[in-house]
Amino acid sequence: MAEGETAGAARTTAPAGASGAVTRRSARVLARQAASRVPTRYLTAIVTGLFLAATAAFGGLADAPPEPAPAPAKVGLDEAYDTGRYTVTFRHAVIVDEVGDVGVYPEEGERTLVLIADVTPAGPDPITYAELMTTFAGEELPVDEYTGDVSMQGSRYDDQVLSPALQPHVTTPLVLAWAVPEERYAAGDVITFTLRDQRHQELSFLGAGTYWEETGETAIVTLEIEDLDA
Amino acid sequence: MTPRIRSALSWLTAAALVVAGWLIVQAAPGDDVYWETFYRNVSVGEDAEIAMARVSVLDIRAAEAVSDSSGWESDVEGSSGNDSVWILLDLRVEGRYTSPADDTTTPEEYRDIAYFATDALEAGGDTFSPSERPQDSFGGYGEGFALGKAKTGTYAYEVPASVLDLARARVVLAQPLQASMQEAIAVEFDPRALELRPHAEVLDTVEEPAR
Repeated sequence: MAEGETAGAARTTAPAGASGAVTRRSARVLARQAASRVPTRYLTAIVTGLFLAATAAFGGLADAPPEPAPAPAKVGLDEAYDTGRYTVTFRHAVIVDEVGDVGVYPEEGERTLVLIADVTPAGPDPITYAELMTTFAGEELPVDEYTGDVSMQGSRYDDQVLSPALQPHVTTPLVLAWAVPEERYAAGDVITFTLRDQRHQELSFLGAGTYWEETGETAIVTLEIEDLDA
Repeated sequence: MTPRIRSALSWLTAAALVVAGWLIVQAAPGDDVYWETFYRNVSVGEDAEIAMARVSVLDIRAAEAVSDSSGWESDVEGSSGNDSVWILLDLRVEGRYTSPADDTTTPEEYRDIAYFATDALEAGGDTFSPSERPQDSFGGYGEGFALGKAKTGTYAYEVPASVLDLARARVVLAQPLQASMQEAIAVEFDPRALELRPHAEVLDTVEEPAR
């Protein structure tokens, strides 16, 4: 009997070596046996259950409450505002019957609304005039019928170059103009529109390069209009 | 060889292979190498050649205000845009581009013309496009360099005065907008070494038959 037991032990621990090796081998067998008792078929379900239980601490599967949109900044005349991509200061908002060299030709019953602004890009790249327009929004601004973007006629205040590019850290004095019905604005009225903040981002997955992304933050610009022909 | 030594050997071999693999990854160039630009460096008084053009750098100048022969002036009294300075790159560019023979869509007058879609000044991490403000300069939209002709003229860059304190700046000229995997001409210079004049004139663009 005792001999039979020894033979059985020898079978599970063969080849029999030093007694230390025997106990180590037995521990390994024990561990293997214990592991084989874990119900692997249910392992995924158990882990998922544990994960879901852990999420309960953070509010479970309910929708996260929407982050409150930051209140837009308020910008008036002669107040510098930094959109992240450029700093802009609106100097004047005027209404005139006609103004030369800005590319606006008001028809019968129309006048020209003119905004004068200093714009200084933050870098690192120049801003084309078309890119600048995509940062403006508002129902009072003119919109290009094809692209849907804001499209004011833009030129430089000093040398009247049309649709100028804006260079990093260089202040560009801009004249932004468009035709409006003559009854629309009078002296003392205000014009209101929105500037969209942007931030510079690097492409990481699909190639190299950078782009500008809207942050979702905005500024509401409110300017009082002067009438130059009044 | 006992089984123990054999097993130890295979572990060692596996470990050595992993280490060797890691060494190879370290020694190999990164992914960036695929997108590298092949720069032809050139300075004042030198020529550089890429497939589509031959460029001679005549001069690099700095000025607080510039004008051109049309009467245009950069600084107008009372303008808030006067605090910039100008870097003028005077070049002679010989067009060497031949349109592909099977290109039937490009109209005759636009064939065999080299363009630099990349023509920016890079300084201090910022990129400046050539100014379109001078009425006659290489900075106008779509300035082209015809095959067999040489154009002399100026790329004018309007930059903040702080650029003149930098030790390094360069103008990169290349045909595509993204010059990766392409050759490009790099005109590198030391802005601190430029003499800042109160006023400078943009060269008139002059085209003549190439020598």
